[in-house]
Amino acid sequence: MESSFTACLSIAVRSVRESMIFDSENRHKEAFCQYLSNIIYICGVLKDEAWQRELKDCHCPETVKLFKLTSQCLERAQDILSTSQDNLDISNVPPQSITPTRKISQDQTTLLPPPVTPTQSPMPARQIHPSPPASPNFRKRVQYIDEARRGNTHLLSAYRARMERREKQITDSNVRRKTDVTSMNLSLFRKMAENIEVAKARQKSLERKKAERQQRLQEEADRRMGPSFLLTTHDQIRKEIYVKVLEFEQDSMWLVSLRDQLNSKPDDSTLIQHIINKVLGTREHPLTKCLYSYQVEIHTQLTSITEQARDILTHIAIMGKNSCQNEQQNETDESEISFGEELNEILESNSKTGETEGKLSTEQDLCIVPASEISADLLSEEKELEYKKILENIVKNVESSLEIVHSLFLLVYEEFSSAAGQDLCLATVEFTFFRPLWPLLLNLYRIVNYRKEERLVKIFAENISCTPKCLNVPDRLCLYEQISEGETPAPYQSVVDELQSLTKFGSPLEKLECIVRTNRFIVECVEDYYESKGKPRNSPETVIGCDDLLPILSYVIIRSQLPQLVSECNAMEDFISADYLMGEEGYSLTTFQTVLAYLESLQGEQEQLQEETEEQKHSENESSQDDSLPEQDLLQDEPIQQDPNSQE
Amino acid sequence: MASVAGRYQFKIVLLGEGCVGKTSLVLRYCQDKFNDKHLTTLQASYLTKKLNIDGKRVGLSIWDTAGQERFHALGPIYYRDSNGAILVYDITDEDSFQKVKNWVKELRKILGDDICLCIVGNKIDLERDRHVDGAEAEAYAKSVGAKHLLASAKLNKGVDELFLELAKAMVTAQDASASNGQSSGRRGASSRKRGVEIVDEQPAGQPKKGCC
Repeated sequence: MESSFTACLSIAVRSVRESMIFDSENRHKEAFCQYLSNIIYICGVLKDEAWQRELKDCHCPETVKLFKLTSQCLERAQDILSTSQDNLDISNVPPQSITPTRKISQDQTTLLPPPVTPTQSPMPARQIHPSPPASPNFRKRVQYIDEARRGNTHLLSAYRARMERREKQITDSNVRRKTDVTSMNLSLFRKMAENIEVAKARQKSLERKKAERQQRLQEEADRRMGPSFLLTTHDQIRKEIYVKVLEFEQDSMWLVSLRDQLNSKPDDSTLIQHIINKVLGTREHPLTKCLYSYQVEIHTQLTSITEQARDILTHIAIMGKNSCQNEQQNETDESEISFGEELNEILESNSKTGETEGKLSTEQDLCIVPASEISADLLSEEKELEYKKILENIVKNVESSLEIVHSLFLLVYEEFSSAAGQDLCLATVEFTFFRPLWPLLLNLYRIVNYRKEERLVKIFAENISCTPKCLNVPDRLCLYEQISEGETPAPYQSVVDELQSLTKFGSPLEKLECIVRTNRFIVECVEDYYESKGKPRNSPETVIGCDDLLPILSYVIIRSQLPQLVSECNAMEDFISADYLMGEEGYSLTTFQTVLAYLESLQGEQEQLQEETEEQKHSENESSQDDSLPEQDLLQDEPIQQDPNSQE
Repeated sequence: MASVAGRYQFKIVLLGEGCVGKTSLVLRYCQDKFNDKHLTTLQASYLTKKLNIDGKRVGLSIWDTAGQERFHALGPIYYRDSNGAILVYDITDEDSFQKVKNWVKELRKILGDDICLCIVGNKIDLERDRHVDGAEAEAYAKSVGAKHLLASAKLNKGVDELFLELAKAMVTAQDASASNGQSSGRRGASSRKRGVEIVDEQPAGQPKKGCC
């Protein structure tokens, strides 16, 4: 009577084993069909048997096992189907498949004592650590079901190895082998089913938790920013990102611990800096993503222009080359390299840019045309205006992007809202933001300022051998002795060197600092000079008022031979907030701009400027310099002004 | 750079021909308190000073400008956003006073009534060589809504007073514009917008003229 069940069971087990082999060999379709035909077979037998006798007679250990097999087959088939669909969507799995299996598996525990479980099963060890790694490199959470499945594959292979060993060991006792095999098969199935079951439960609770968390974070965001319906679209976007950040933080222990540190030391500027750097160094962080998206947007805009204006850019590059071969060229090369690296990292997709740059540099090498020849037709008035408009738009774009990112930082980290914190935050964000973009941005500025730069190149070239004296630097600040000694560097050489390092920096604030240093070095230079002559550092001779500073700077800028200073200063002025420009930084930048504008205005008068050297008479200057200036009484203050402190 | 409540940060431009001794004035003002201490900033061209006026902490940053005519056309970028200006002339030099008049015109044109002006006649130690009529200068200053003071950098006379007067005027002006509903933290760190140029504050003009 029960024999039909037993027979059925052994056939079914064999068949299931076959399907499992298909399964483990990744022959999904065959495995799937095989599982289903097992079910049909078992169901058929059960139905036929039940039809032929009393239902209660059907209840025996064999039927229980058969049922269990069926459900396992069903489940496995379902899994195959859902994985093959695409990246499995676990939530779609109907929940009813869980309940019966669980019951059976519980029954099974009582029926069959757990047989030798392969010790190398990775499952338990893995499930102890469901929390994500506490490293800054956030890894995507591994789905529990996947994990379970992988565990099962291990189980299966371990099982197979075991079976092979067994077959070698046992040669005589057939009976024992058969029962053993059956029991082992079943325990294997049970184990696997359990794994899947546990994983499913975990997955479910995780999803529930996630939903709860989402809800909580949303509430948190509501608390900070007010309910969504009251917000503008802009704020809603900010809110969305805020929620994302909160969510991200839940998954990243390091962020939480940094936040704890910040709570205890909200004024620690190094900590603030550290946090911002960490956040911006983490690709997956929503704030970083936000920053990148803006960067990419602006980069795309800029590259399309670079493409259009390649002629001018090539020309600008040549201009630099002609005027100052060594340093200038090196600087451009450097910036190109760093540019390539940075951007390729950010925009893997945008490989076009690298090519553009490459072409540009080869063109530079190929066609060396004197600066003056092509210049006229390169940039028409309308074109120049057009570029100016584009630049204005980009500047606006950059500003609003920075503002959004900055405000997001302040939203996420309330502690940053102190004045110092804000400044620090902005500086760090700007640094990250501008570094890859600066070369491109500068290109656009240089296009717009093309005429000015060209003029400067000429003036630089004509005045390259100028002494401070030619530029009306008062005698006491010409630092003559240094020249007469021959071997020693030209006066203010350290200042010129400092200024030339400006091109190395990639963010406006760093460049601004360089400008400030340049100005300070002038004072230092003068003080060093007088100190070497035995005078105190703050003697009347070392006093430098604006009237002295401008001529000295003119000299330094001419020596630096960097026409792009016009563009660099323009860009700094555009991108550095007015708050920064109240203090010494602002003064230094203003002084630079003044001197650059002055040098530009010298166009066509360089000869006169050099005449001044020989004549050294200020009365002569008046007639030679006044063409561009409306006022007639030029420089008459000069002779008297040489020692403003003498009256004290 | 943040303008925290109860703290004032002002920018002052220093105008005057090269020979009138504006550098000496500002050096005298900023150095006196720390006589032995060496100035580390850009020497006499950019200086800062902290004051306490009626319990209000006031920070001054003083921007020297070039008096030479060849740089004159480029002056306006120095004036931008300044709260006050000190216009120095040499009482022995009539021409330097005419220059001051030009600058006043220019400043009013560019910055409107938004800026507090202080006209200073320097070198009163050379009173016997006076070429600028004191009453005339006084009347002129009044007519343009500026303060008029006399000083001698050499004798250290009237130096502290002139900066103090100007600082007071600027505090009053800022308070007035703040109570007029204009954002007092115009240059506050929190509203870091670049486009914040000089906003013409018409209603604020009246009290300012009175006090300057």
